[in-house]
Amino acid sequence: MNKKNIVIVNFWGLGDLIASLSFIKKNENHIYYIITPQNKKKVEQLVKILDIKTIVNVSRFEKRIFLVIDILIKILQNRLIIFTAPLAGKSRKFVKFLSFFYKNSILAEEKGNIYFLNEKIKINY
Amino acid sequence: MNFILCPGSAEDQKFKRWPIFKFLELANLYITNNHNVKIVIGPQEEYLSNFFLKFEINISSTFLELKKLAQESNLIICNDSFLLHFFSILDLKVLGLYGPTDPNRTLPTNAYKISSNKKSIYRPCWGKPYYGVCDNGRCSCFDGLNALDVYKKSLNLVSRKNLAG
Repeated sequence: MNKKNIVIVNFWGLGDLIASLSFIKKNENHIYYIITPQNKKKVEQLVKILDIKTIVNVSRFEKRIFLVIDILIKILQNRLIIFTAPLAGKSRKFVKFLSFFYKNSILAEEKGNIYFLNEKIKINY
Repeated sequence: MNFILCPGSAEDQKFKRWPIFKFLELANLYITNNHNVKIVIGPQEEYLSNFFLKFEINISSTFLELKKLAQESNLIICNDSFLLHFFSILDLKVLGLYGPTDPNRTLPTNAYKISSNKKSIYRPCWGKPYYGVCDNGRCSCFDGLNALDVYKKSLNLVSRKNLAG
């Protein structure tokens, strides 16, 4: 199986980020880089305590503007970017705009339970 | 039985908290009926500890401490907050108290939920322009959800095997 280097984007709170970590835990056969406004150290501690058995790196940025720049850098690197649920409101509009130009990305659906929406995301091999 | 109560949530979304006096009433119900109660409070919520002076309180615990603490409990009761998601992904038995937010959207797949049975034209107000201030500037989504309702549901949950919903 081809091990992919995947970027996970979640702009929401620490609780919502758990739904993204749940996705990673169920897809441990890849390597991840998380872009989140949450504190890097805190997220790394969470990854450890949840016993996620793959490499997970976390963006060191917390401010939105730097997170967006981080996403743009990953786009230039042609990395697969997954925008996990919850993905609503302004974030969704922004991501839809981005994904119009950048096809190597997956957007979680908007309506429904955030855990089930993330479970529906399929990584193509 | 051992119960953990988590009365907090993000400071900028206090309306997601079931009223603190109801948490206190619930804690007292457990003690009166010979159960054990521990209170878990986050780093931004220390002031809430003043309501629970006669209870064992854990403030700003590390993730590892929270995990160990929760593993000794029969049920954890949380608002729709980080702790609800955290304890659920650890596969612990968790009851989420839902008011303004929508359990169909955020309830962890293995967690249980309770919300008010009282009819409301506002609940849940999440995603609406008046989120958090739905009823004349006040969020009324928790109105009607009483300590006794949560107490009864919690006893029912601890007496049965896992079957989330």
